[in-house]
Amino acid sequence: MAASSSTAGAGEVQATYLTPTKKAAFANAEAGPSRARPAGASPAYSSRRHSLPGSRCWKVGLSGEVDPRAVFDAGGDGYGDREGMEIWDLGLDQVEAARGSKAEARRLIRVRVLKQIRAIYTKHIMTDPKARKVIVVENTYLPSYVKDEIAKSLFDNLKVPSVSFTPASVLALAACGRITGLVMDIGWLETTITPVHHSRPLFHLARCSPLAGRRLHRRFKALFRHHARYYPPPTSFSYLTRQAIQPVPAEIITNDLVQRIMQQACFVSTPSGPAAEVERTEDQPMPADLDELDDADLMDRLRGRYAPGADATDVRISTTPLPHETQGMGPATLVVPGWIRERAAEVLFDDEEGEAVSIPELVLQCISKLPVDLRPIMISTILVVGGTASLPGFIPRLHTSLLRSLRPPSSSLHDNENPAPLHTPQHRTAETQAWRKRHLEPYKELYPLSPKLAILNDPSPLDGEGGSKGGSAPRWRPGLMSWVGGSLAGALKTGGPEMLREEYDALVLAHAEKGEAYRYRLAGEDAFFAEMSKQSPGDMEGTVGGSIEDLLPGMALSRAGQGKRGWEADVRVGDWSRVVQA
Amino acid sequence: MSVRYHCSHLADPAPPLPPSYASSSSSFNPLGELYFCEECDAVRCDLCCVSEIASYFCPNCTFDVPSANVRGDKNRCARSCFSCPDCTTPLQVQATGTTEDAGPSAPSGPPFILICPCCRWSSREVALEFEKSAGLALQLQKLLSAKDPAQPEFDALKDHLDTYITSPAPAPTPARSASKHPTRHISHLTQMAAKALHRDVPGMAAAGAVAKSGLRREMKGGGERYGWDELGEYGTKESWRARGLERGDEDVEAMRRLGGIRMGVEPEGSSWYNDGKRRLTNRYPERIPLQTKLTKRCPHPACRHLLIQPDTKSTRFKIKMVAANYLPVVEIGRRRRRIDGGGHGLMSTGSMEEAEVRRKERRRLRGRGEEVDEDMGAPIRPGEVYTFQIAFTNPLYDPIQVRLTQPTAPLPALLPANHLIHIPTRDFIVNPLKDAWSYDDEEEYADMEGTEMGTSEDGSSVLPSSRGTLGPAAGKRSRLSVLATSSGGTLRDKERRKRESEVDKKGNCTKVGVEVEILPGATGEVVFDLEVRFTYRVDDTDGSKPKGAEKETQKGKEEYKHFTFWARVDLGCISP
Repeated sequence: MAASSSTAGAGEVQATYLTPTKKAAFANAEAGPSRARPAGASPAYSSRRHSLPGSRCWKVGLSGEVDPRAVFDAGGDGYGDREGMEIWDLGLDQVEAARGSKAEARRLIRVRVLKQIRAIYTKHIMTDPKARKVIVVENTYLPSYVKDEIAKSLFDNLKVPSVSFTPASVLALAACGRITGLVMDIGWLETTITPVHHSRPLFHLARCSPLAGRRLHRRFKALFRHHARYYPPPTSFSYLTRQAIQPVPAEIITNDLVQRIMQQACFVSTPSGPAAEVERTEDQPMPADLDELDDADLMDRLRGRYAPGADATDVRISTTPLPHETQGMGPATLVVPGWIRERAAEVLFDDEEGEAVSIPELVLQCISKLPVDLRPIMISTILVVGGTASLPGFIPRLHTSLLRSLRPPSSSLHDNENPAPLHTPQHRTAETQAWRKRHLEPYKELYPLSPKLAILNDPSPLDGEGGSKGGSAPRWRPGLMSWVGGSLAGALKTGGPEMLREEYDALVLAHAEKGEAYRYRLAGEDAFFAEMSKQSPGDMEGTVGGSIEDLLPGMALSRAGQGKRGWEADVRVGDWSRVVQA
Repeated sequence: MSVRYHCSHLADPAPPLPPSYASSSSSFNPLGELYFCEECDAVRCDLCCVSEIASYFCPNCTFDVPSANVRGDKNRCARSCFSCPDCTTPLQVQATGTTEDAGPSAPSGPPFILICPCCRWSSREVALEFEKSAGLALQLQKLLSAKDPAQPEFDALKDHLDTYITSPAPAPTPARSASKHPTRHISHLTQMAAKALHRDVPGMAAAGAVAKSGLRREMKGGGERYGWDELGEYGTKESWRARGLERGDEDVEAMRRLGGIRMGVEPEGSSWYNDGKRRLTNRYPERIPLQTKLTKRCPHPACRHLLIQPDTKSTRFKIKMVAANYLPVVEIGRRRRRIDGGGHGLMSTGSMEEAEVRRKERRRLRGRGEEVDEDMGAPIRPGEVYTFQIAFTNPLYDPIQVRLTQPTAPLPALLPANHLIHIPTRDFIVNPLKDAWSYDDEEEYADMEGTEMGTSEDGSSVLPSSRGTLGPAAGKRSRLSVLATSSGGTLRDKERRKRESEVDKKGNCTKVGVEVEILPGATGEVVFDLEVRFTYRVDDTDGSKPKGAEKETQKGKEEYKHFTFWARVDLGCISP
């Protein structure tokens, strides 16, 4: 079968025709298995094996299989980084443990990626890396250095025969049997929206926002700290009354605990009507610099906004008591108020001041940037994937919020009731007023599309007119969608452009040679200039071919056949038509 | 409190990055996890060596699984090994029915159930009973696959997409997976552009027309022209829509009424198919994951020698090249804290000159100052001076001469230092590994001559050449004096020097002191690197260990070889 036929080429072809059912692929699924751990960026490995690595959660498996072999939290045990939650961050300088040094951040990411990829083979897949091709499912905005490190680990350390990076958006659609749609990936680091048309992702129209799992995690943690109640175990059998401690001691709130609670107890409720719409407290400015975790004021305000109307029950959780508390008297108890469970995710839907645009707005922004022809198609094929999107009720809530944003405000209707006669000052005034108000209704041109709005994997599709596509997708978990797509791609022997190990080695070698040659040339130039500087002015005139006094800035260098340091005068560009693919 | 050893991976041995670079810690491992390649004369670690799977086995039934079956079984035991969904303990099979042959007292027949010996979870909780006691995995799989809607869905999707991928494309292959061939000729390009202009744009006019008809099947008739890039609507086997609105809201409602959650239980079941329920209620036991025995090879492209080869039939190793057999074991212990009133006036900055001044001051006060032994687990306080003992244990059959220094880091540290290190004794000898009974003789002369050797700068010439001449009584006394450093022996001067350098030798282990001065106001962890360079003798008469070095040795001639490694010592956190 394919896998045993080892490296690339020939083996691949045989496999295709002989035993189509036994193709193995690695799918590296990005975000988390579970809802609350979305992966920011997720590449995945496919072909024979595919994997979907995210900044936090990696999913790996063999293609052609329905479930990933392993889904694991790749962060957390990051080197040197006890608080480490993600393997990489949005920017190199934001990687926490690197202390601002970009080179160090790069090294850190290298070792973390390498360690995880090796763990995939030895622990999770338990197979020989040299025998299987790899599909990496990559998120739209996967940083290129991460991609670089993944390729480096796979080729240099593990010697895999080939790697193909495949866009997650296309694969997610494939998992729903589609090739066109608007894929919304709500991961850990960022939310990305990628329109895909006929299996071509329109990357230049994609949008992203840091409003994603990590933001939710932080907000939940802060709310939890200030408003949950912690009951330590009783001190003795004679005194069994337990006093609640608030705020919850910081040692109790580990990231793992927060993660668990979010996975198991959080959900998103859909406001039943316009009345439930959250009122803004605009008169209170938000202190921007204060860390949310310590901002008691903000937390109190949020409580005032969220708690009324939330009817979820409080949840009790037993944990091990802190070391300094009584041991052997049973577990300590945490009580999470229902309103936190219900409303914590509001942070993704609210557009608070100073925050990035909310997720529904991001969708609308993306759609309004699309070509007019594509808008109706895209708005009726929204596909929501990613770990955070697995929160129960998330997708219905998104649907409601989108609909609400697409509903014309009542006031604008009044304006149009008695239009002023054309070409009169009143008309011009009205026009001007409308123009001034345009920012109040930024999505006005999308209003007619609202009947077409449909989310493909909406678990509770509203049967509106035209919304026939809503909820028509197979019921894969949102976090797994891309992975399933990768598995399909592996089984079908397709995927992104495949890079063979030989090609990679040749490329790296060529690159190294080029760098070496450049360094050599630089050294030569430096020697030349050193020589020049030693010469007397008279000799120098001979070298530069003119009087020193007459020379203008830069002229001496050009006459000597040199430009600036490292400058190459006559670079011939190769025939691009042979390189660029049609 | 740990000592880890550096592996330079495939690069040439060089001092590692300072501890403040978090990435450097990936190159450090405990000695027990490192391998040693004799051919390359280098340390190898788990991150760089090439692993191949030698065999698979089930940790529960210890059955050696043939590798051909492993993938089909999803890397899990295909016999009757299950783990409890609650506490992951291996489950036991229990008969619950009775057969006619056996008495009614002891249930021995079907149906069989799985029961957890630890938490009493029973497979009856999920309505699971088996008819036979063997091959439960197969029986369970049959049960589950009948219920599982995911696989048929997946297959249907695959067939559906297959039509798209294999559908005949128009002559100049458009960039579906635009990897095939770069266009050869420019005229080809223009030709294609012309064609593209005349073609209907898929998804616009065409798609609109088809959407109206309600079916986006392959274009009838004109499929050749634009249908190649269309994909028909996929009919989901079981969509959300088909299940109805209420079902989709089930999980939200369930969540709303949630009373409590149990930590330590994975919320998700084995299936990734979203059935709208939290899977806490329906948890099936999981088959136990297989484990592997790995063969490890040196990663060097020119070497590739086996470092580890397990014996698949037993727990032994055929080849086992571990670093612990080649490098001295470095341990840290015996923490003492200096109690002296003086010398603290200067403790404001961490400059080297001031540190030197303070160190001299301490040395001067040594007689008067006191050192108290502290528990290794006690918190480290800022502004204190601690003395630790570092023990080197020699695994070689030859004495080694050790030079202990602080490495010069290739890059400046990212964080300001929070401590200063002083190593009073930089050069010393560690005696060879011998049979236990031969150490008695050894110690006699070691006690007598050890101090000279300990402080000697020149390594090779002071290897012990003669046996001690003192009687057994003297030897015993000297040994005592090692333990109680204050008891004066016959050689008072040597005693003093010994205490100064704090060299403590016993058997094949030598202990030296190291002074760690925690700066006032310091926080964080006290981590420092040590560079250990040791010299060992290789001659062909002696079957000395590093064989790679031995090869190069001239016959009959003694030769000394050096090996340098780096160790990272972690003393723990400073608590203010």
